Amino acid sequence: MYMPNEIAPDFIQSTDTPAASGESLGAWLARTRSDRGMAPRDAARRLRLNLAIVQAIEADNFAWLGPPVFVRGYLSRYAQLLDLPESEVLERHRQQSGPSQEPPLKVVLPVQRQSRLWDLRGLLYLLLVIGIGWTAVQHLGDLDPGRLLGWWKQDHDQNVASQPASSAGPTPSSTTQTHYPFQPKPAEVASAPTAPATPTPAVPPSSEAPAPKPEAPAAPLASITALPIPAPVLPTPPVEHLPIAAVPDLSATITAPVTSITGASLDANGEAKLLLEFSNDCWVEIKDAQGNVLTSGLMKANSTHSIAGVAPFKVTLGNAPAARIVLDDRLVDAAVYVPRRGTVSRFTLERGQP
Amino acid sequence: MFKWLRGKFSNDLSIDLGTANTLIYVRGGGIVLNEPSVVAINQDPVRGIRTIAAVGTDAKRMLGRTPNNLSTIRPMKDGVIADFTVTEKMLQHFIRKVHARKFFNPSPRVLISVPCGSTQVERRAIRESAMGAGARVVYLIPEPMAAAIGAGIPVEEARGAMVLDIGGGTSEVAVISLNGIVYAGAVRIGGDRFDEAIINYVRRNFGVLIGEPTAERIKHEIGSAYPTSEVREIEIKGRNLAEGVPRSFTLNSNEILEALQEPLSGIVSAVKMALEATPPELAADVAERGIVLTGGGALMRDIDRLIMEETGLNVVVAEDPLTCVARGGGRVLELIAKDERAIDAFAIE
Repeated sequence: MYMPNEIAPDFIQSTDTPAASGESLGAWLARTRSDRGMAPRDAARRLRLNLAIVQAIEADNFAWLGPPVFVRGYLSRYAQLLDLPESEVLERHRQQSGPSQEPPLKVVLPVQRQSRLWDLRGLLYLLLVIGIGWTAVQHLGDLDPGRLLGWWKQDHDQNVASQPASSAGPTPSSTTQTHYPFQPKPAEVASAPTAPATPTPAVPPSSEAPAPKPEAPAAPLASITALPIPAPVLPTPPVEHLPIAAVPDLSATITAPVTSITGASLDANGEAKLLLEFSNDCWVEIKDAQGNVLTSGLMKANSTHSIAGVAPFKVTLGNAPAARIVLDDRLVDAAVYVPRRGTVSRFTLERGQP
Repeated sequence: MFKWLRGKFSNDLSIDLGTANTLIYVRGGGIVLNEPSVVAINQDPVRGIRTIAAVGTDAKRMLGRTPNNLSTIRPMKDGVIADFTVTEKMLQHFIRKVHARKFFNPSPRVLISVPCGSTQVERRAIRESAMGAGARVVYLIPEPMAAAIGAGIPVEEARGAMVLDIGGGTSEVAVISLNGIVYAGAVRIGGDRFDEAIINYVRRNFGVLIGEPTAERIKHEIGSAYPTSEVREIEIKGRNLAEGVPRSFTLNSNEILEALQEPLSGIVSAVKMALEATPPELAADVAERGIVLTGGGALMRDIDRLIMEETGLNVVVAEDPLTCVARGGGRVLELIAKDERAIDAFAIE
């Protein structure tokens, strides 16, 4: 029977400690366990450890046991189980495996990018931004705040106009397509391009008669001027004979200022005449065949504009349903330029177009 | 700007602001301060002005032995601040004490461990208290995480580890894996509750009133968490409640074990609850390696055996368990000094 209290210290030193015999810590623990008549499985059960851990301790395979905190704990408990001095077991372990190094603290950081191609992402984004910026600068002329204002105003007017109509009940004009007062009915379009709706002449009597077209040299580019402006190249005619609106009839029907081109006899040089009427505010840009911008800007509601230039014209209308176009005294069919959806229309006008 | 300048003359600190003891670890210098979290306040009876009379060990010597104008305060209770102003003064005292340079007031970066069960308000109080004490930056780390790092557990591994940190005011149990806390639970049972249980036991069974320091001495000398064949005894003195005079009597370890049954069972319940709530894979890891005990409570005799018997798992007491939290915080602080991204890890706020 093992009676540690009755054994002399010198005897313990000579038999139980591995210092004299030079045996390893694991061998010492294994020998002591077998001396106590304990199987490895019993020791593992009493220590609440796996059998593999006990076997690893007895085989001095401390690296397999994991971090030092656990190794010290296992050894400490094993020493207590075998009634061995705990401090001596731990000291022996320290001597055998060297000073314990705590595992270095690590931070789990995001995985590093593997491919250098990813580094080009920034360059690609930069190129994309530059491309978008360059495109925006190129189309800066198209960005007219007035156009947006015109659209808003048109919508607002439509809403205001639709409210009383809906309150009065369904009317023939309240169809899906808006019919503007100045727009001729289909039958009228076929018969005559212009028909005075109200005989209220807005032009002074002196301008009722069609003004004779001055024999001015054709300008290479048409320039739009507000009425009444004398043509700078004309012979100095009297004030009452100044060129005025190209289409006096229209000016009589619409009580609005009319603008006209100064070179009225451009037909002779093969240039086309374009007459634009607007029932509402509309942003317009018109380019001639050479790409020269003939006009660009916001046209006010109930205004008429006359333009001359070399056909075909590239026309952009911000509010196409509000426009009425006459090319060479022929009304252009609204189906050509009124879009099915929305109000913005981009189209090309050629001579002889219906 | 002045804080930044003063920070150049300050050392980064990891503070274990415990209910019973405050430990400070200086980056690159190890544990430099371990003092009781006790402050002695002197109150001027005429003007009513309160001044700090002593902090730390000096104040603890006064505990229960003060005249009318002096009072000893433990500003931390259950792991959180009970008296904001006194805590601030205590921290200020400790921070100045660990800085040798006296020309500038120190303004260090400070990492403080907080109980994982503390509320946002309690954490904010700790942060502001440290800022008020002169800290330049305050990081807060959950105590079980700091304890696990200080104990040497490889917390970054995809392998579960359970830590039980028995402190002065709280006991916290956590399961840690991959630098994060998977489960954390805390009970407001710690060394103070042990002392309280001993005081109540002695009063109830012996009719003698003893003070907190005496109860703490009993706990340290013969306190045991598991019955053993070896019975130890201690002779103590207290005031007999019936006679009103001091009397001496003897207590043995089995009586203290009986006194501690209630708080110990609370800690065991917390561990069992944590094991129930642990995901199965991590529970298997814990079963393989065991539970690691840290904190001053781990020094109680046979507490590891108690938990081992109750849970059926191996229990390991960390080396120098009292300083695990401060050392763990210090290791994190050293990592932060090398790589600021470490702030995002270890659940640091």
